[in-house]
Amino acid sequence: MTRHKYDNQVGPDNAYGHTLELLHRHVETGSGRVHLDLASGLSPIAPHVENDLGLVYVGLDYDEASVEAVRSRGFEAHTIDLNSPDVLDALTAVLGERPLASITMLDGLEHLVTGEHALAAIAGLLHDHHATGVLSVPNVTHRDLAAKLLLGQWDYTETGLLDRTHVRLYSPPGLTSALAEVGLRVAETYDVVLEWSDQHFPADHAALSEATPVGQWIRGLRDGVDGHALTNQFIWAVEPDAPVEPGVAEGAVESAVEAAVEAAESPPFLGVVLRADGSSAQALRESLLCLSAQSVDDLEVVVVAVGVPDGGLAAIEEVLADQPTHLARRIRLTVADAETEGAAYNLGLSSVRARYAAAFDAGDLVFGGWLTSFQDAQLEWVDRVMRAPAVVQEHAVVEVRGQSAIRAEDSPRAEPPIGFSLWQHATENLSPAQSWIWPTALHRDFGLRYDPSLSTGAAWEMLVRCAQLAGVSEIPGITSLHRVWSSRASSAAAGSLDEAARRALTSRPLLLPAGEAARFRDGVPEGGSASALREQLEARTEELRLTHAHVGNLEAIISSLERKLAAAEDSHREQVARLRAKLKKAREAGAPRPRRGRRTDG
Amino acid sequence: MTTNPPAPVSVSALTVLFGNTVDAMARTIRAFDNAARVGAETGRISRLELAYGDASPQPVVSADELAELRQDVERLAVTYTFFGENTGTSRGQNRLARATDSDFVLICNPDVIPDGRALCRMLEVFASDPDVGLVEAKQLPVEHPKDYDRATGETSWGSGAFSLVRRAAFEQVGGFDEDTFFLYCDDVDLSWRLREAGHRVVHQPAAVVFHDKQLTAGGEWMPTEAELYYSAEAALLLAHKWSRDDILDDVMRQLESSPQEIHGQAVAAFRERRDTGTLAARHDPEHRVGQFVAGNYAPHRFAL
Repeated sequence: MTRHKYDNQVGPDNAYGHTLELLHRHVETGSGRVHLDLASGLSPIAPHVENDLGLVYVGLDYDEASVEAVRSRGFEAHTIDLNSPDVLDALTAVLGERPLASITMLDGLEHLVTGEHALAAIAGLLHDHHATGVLSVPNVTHRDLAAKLLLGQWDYTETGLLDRTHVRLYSPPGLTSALAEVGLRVAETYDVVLEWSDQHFPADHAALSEATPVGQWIRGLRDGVDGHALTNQFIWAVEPDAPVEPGVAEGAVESAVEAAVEAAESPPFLGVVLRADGSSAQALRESLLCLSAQSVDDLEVVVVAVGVPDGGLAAIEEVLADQPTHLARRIRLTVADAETEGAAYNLGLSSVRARYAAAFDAGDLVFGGWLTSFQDAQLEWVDRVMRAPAVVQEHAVVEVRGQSAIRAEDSPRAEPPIGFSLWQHATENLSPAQSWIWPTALHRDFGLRYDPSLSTGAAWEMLVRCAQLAGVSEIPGITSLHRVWSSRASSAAAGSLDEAARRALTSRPLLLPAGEAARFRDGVPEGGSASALREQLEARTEELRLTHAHVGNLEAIISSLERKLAAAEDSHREQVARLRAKLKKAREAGAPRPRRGRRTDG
Repeated sequence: MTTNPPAPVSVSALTVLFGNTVDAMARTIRAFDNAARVGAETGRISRLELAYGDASPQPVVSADELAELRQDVERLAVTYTFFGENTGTSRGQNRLARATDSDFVLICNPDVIPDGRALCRMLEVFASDPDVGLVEAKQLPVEHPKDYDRATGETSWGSGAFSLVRRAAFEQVGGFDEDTFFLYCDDVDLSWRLREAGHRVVHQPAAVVFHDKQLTAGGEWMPTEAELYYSAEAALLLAHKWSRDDILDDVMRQLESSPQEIHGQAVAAFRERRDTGTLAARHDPEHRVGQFVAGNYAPHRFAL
């Protein structure tokens, strides 16, 4: 006898096992109430539902043979057309007066042309019986499918993610939306995750490989979008949306109205996330002053206060209360506990509505035309990263007459390079965070966000990823000032602190834009990048080392010669002494004295 | 023992317009209105007035536009006077000072945006030290490089971009020397005469104001031609007035050898004054107040 293609067994790691686990968590066991299993097929979960959960199993399927097979195993089963608009009536008739505990529909929804009827019926029954539902739906956005579809490959199979009998295909937002339309929301998920899905073929496909640059690039891209790159099947426990209770309705309605009004307003051009150290409210005050003085108001500001000491929030709140109305109504405050730089930026980013975003630390300053320079530039370059040169200046915190203040300690200096090069930026943190903005469509479409594991260099690492996806448009003219602190580390200046960000960038393939090869060939025009300076320094160190070694050698030679000279002098002195002694003896013996005579030529 | 908080005071901001835009005025007005709110809420400021004097050839703002500017203002009093002549800053601000009667006068540029608490923090300095005659705020985004004492804030002079002066002290020294200084160094001269009269001049960096700057691609400040001329002329007049003939000779030589034609014109204007006997009377013969350091009027922490 041929085995049915859907004759799968319950296993702890498959859709059935995950479904039963969710039922255990959400359903009261041993109640004797009914469990409806829609699109039940051969009902592999039936014995578990009855024996482990203590429910009455009822299978429902379109295929009469399957229904008969289930009945033959002693379980209740009925035929049903789940595409029918009357599916709720049919289910109600099957249920009769019996109380309902739960409903499952495992790998059935994708087979229904009009699945909304079945979903609506589920929603209605769950609501009426205060019951729980669990759905299993294949994920057509698995990384294997995404990589192959990118290359025009779409391979139907007998079973699996692209079962040839699937008529509706679901993505994470697609399934969420389908549930929301019938008044269902997700209570808990326990997805089946597969590194290699049944679509992971052919085995030598470069785009599917984790060892090839293209495979790594696609993985990085897909994995960053959402948490479902490796989800094979969504296993979601669902429940009806909570009805609005009369007692709390008023506030909820007001909030909803406010949210609707906000959503209806066109989003501002720029969202600024300011990470404010709770111990330095003055730095926040100065950054906000510069934002309040922009020649246009087309921005929103999210202040993320981190490391706020006891009583420190009052100082930050005072700064916000001191802002003029036109800016104050555009500021939101979020307080975070000991967040990393990346996590703090993400926290702010989560409430940004604007078309572009910038995230930097309070204390950095922008010039009056900072915002308009970006606005003007985006008229020419839509949806790219935009970057303008910045100056860097060292500052210190001082206390003047009892007031904490910030004092510039040296000249503002323009940091090379003026121009943007992706390969340079991939190796060095060269653009202070306030000097560039990025389109938030990258967050929406690619799931791009700051790396929450990075305590420093999060903006740098983000810039390199944004630049690869959207490119960088450069704006001439200095529009901002980055502060480095005499007594504190600074994200852009403290290169050694950026090691984690550097490792993250090194671990991934780098997509360089057209023109970068020419930069490689020609070198950096300014010749002043940190790497160039490092090379110069290393060369000079080597020169000095050689010079030092040469000096040592010369000193050794001179010492040697001096010793030789001293030895020779001693020897000569002895020789002279011997000759004098001989001469003396000769005189004493009466030998004639040598005569001094004139030498004549010829 | 408890100390009574200082009584709220009135402040008149004196600022001279010259070809400014209405949009820029609007930004300044809303910032001052906010400062008036914070000043009132903290009990520091009883009344804040922004007194505009317009030295432009034509009024920069019409009556309708002025009414519109005043429409959104809640606490700030805004006055506007069209001078009908180019007074420069010193004559213009003297005129505005005479037309107001506040406890303090704030000398400021029309394009400066103060932080909401800047004036309060400046007033705290006056409240805690009766010897202080002038308090200067810190300018952003590019800070002025002049040095100040890290603890007391005492400094050589306070910038006319945003300095608060006790009116009594201002009047004691006769306000700005409008006969000598047109546009530049009038603030240096005022500061030095205040110090000569026994007042302290303090820089309070916790009080911040926004005063935009244009930097070159190399991060340097690029002055305009008018700034070059008036700062050169003022340098000569200041050296003369503060009895530094050595500096005067040096500056004269430097300007005469400068490739900038505008510098030659400044020297010629100074000579004409000297020849016609219209230079200011000399001060500080023993050089106890005036500071001339490497072309600046205070030691600088860094070059700009």
